[in-house]
Amino acid sequence: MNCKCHFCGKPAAVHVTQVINDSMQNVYLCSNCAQKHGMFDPDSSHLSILKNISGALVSKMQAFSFSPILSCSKCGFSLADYKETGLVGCSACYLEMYDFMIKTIENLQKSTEYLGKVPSNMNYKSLNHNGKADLRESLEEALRVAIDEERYEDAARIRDRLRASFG
Amino acid sequence: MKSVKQFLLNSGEFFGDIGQQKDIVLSSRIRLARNLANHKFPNWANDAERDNIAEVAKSKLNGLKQLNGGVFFKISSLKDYEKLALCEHYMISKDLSLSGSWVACSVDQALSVMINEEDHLRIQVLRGGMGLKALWKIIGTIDDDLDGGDFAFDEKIGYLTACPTNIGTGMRASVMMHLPGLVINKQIQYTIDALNKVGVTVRGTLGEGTEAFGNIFQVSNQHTLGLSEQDIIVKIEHVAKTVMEHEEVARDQIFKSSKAFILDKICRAHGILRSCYRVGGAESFELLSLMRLASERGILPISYRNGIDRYMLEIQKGHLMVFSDDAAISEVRDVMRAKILRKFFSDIDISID
Ligand SMILES: [Zn+2]
Ligand SMILES: [Zn+2]
Repeated sequence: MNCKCHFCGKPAAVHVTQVINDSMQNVYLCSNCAQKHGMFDPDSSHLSILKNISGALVSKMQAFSFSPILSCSKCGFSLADYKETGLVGCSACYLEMYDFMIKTIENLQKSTEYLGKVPSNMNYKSLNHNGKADLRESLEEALRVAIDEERYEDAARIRDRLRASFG
Repeated sequence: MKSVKQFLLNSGEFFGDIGQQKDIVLSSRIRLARNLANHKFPNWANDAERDNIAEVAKSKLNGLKQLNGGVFFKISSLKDYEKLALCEHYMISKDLSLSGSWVACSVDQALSVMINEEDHLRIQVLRGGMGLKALWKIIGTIDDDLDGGDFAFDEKIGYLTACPTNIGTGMRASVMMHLPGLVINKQIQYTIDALNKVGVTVRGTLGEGTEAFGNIFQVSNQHTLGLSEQDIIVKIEHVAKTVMEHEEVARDQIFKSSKAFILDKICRAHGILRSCYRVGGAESFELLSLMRLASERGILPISYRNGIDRYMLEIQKGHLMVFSDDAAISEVRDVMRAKILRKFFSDIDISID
């Protein structure tokens, strides 16, 4: 299955088709989220999904499936606060409420893939790559592989990212 | 410490030009949202924390060479009309004027950094004409200089912002366009709808909300994540060029098939500007819009266009109030506005065959 989980963005393992307000909606779930939402028993699956998305668009699904008590341990901001203001409390909120935020971002943005500049400052500990040189190498490697495998769209995207970050 | 009045008086050139292209395009602007990693976002921080954030931000900005000789204004110590004038001058946003902490502006008014707007830092560069590519170079360097390794950044989703609509690049690139042709031809709504469908936002820029006084529209990117800064710039420049072509076509069409109509409109506007005794803000934008159009059709000398652009800012309420104590009264402002415009247009003649 080539689709992403509607709850967390991981590759989907379960696919449910649902008719809501006369339009057909496809719902994809990863095995983890499927389990969380009682989807492992094929008989109970449709019912519990229905409960979660009744009357709503799939794109708004996360609003029904995350508890408003969910909050950020760093700043105390909760999902209920987000629904009121449309803003989050601190930068850690994105990681603390990742599943919800990534769904929200998916609805608002072109994609959830960051393609912008790499900060000039090398001190970013949160980077998986140890600074710029490694990132450059790994992007160049990814570019080579993409070209080898004739995935030209991916290759173009990686090339753009290399240009954006390293000129 | 400079006052807002001194700061505005200093504006030698209208923002300075960056691009050749000034027909139809008034100015280009890029804005970056940046936050400090270990602080709450302004909306969620209390006063003490916001002060703290402002101190960190100010010490960063004090070392920034692009701000050399520039000014800092503390928002809470400004008068309402001073805040309004800075808004009209594109130095601050309405949000900042309501609840922000500080703004730092460069002397040439081409750079401003807002502190504790929706994000800790909102960096903005602005120039006359079309020139997003050049602006990206400038603001990219400023961003690098301000980055002490303490920005909120995540490799997977980029720069972290208070609102998820700005996350990723944190970048808004915009081009301000003068589109009287599309407005007169009633194609503007169609154009706006078409652009909205491809991830481009169009807003009126003068006056409140989305109302487009003076036929001026701001075209900017809707998405900040899922595309690179270059992608955004290329997209907005491409869109702006396409809109420009449509505007040219609309203008040609109007001057060809409704020649008497448009020339009459221009001549009457010129007459009013030259001899009115009082004029309101909204009406003057409409009149100045026609003069800008006339200058680009060779009906007025093109050399006056910068002056027209400048007066579009300076005849607004906040500016008038900064420059005169009497301007607090609306009727007085209308008379002052008329006087300024009368003087400017007194020696500008129209040439039509
Ligand atoms: Zn999942
Ligand atoms: Zn938080």
